Amino acid sequence: MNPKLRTFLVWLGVLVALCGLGLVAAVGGTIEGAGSDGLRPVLLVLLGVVALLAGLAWWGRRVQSQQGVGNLNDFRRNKSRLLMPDAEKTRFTDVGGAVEAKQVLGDVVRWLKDPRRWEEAGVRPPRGILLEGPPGNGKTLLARAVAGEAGVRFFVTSATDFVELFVGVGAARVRDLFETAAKHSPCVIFIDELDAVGRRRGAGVGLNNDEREQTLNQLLVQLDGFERQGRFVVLAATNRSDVLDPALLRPGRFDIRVRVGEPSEADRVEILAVHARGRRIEGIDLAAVAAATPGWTGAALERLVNEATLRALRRAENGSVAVLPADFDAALAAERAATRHLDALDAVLIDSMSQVAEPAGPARAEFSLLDGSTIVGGIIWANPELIKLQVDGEPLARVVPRAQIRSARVVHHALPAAPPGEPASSSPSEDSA
Amino acid sequence: MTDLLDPIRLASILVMWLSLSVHEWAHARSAYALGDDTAKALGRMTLDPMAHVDFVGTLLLPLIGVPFGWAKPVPVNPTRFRRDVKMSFGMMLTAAAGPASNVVLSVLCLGFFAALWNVAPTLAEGPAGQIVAIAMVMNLLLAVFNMVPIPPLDGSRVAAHFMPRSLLPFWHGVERAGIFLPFLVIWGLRAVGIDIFAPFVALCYDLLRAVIP
Repeated sequence: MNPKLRTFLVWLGVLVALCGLGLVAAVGGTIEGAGSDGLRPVLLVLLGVVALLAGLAWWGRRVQSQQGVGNLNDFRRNKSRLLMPDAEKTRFTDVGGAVEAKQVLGDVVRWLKDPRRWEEAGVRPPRGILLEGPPGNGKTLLARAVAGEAGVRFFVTSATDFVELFVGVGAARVRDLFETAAKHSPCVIFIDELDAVGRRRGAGVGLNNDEREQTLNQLLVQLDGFERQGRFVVLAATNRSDVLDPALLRPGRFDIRVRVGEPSEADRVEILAVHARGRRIEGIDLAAVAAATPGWTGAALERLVNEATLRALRRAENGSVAVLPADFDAALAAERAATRHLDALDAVLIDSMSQVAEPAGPARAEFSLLDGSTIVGGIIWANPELIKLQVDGEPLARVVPRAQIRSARVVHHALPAAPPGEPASSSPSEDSA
Repeated sequence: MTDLLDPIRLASILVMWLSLSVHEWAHARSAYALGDDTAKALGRMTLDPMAHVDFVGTLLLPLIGVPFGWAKPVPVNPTRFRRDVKMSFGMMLTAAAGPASNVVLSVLCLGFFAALWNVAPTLAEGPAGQIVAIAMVMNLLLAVFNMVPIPPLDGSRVAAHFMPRSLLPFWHGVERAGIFLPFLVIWGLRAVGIDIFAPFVALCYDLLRAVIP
């Protein structure tokens, strides 16, 4: 029921009851006058009751201290935040791409809203869903969208909340979380960064893993659902699913694994469209931007749009802020400048890895230096300022400052051709040319 | 007064229930205004008496015939206040909001009592007037009682704001002693002849008499 309506009804009921009592009192005729003498006994009793009160409080205290709980209780409370059904405004439409993830999570949302169809069909209710994938691809966003779509209570917690100095506290918190969830069902529990507690047991060095293992064991037990009551589902997110304990992933626990991977080009268009919402973006071909940003995560695209808008704001001073293609180009260029030397290093590293597959040797390039000489050699290592080369015919490797390189040409390159729209910045030589 | 089903007594329980709800709501609402949404998230920022029911304090005691009680305290987390509010000052404001709401209710009841006497004296002479008068007295006494500066009452939080920092650990230690401590002190004072409620009760009587035409 609408809480406001309920409040109103309770107050109305109490007031009606008051009127009724007044009538009874009037008819019963046992009423003393409204004068002050009539009030005195009330006050006397009011004060006299204090004895009973104090006794009760004293007794309650004693029982509590005998049990030895007291203030430790607060410690064991789970720190999860409770999102009220209407607090979360995120919807699936706010998540670009991730079609499969949305499909799986959409099923869960429908189950939360109306479990009957699942029951009729004989489908076992979902227990745990693991969202996995590299950082910045929208795992947490998807979880928020589930909260928004399902319209049920949503408990948000991070697995790091379970980690505490004191042994046993983490396990107690897990239990508390599931108990709270059972009480508030239907609901969703979301555990972010699951790998903080979910690491493979017995892998660490030293003995101080006991606490984490206890926490994990408790989580396993709760997921099993032996004690599970109520309609709720556990969502977890991690970008290190490889280190998770296999017991977490077995059927019956986190048995639905949703991969939230890097967005495809079509996904990127969608993501850009989501971020373009609410901003005045004029004459920009989002498809072209998407094509020019292969391998970018949703978070990176968000930053790109934000950066472009910031530039537009800077330009506009006052008046309405309209984002033009030039802003996007500038933001893209800035982004590339910031990452180009990393790209260069990556290219070299990738090249040297390709050595394994291809015995042709490391990335080789021909450099013409400022002193007029030309050297050909394999790139051993590179950073923004220096390149280390094994020059042909020289016994020792040479470190060449990039500033001394006039131009460069890759002789052997194991990388595929650069995608369209992407300047060939992935080549180590590009940047010094 | 010994009759458990005395309608006036039952009525005063209901009045107390409503008053305590307003009291707890005032705590929650003021904390929310200062940026702490703990109480709101727990569904306590509501005037709905059902949300504030304490099993012993609000249901059991009145049912066994005790015309007194309490509601579930509203949790306030000062670390969630807005950054421009000092934590101790914010705590003082939220603590004072509860008793203040009871004072407001008390004044409203007094006004209603006066209006009743002027509009419908026959009603005012009967149980209706009595219930309103009880509501007025009860709310003022609730405010007075809660402002007694002894932990864990609201008054202690107000007092904490004016206390040197070095005393605070001790003060919070006293809070652990539980709800019976203020009663002990109030009773102790009564035993030596100081009744902190007496002047307020007298004030209530004076006010109530004053508005009767």
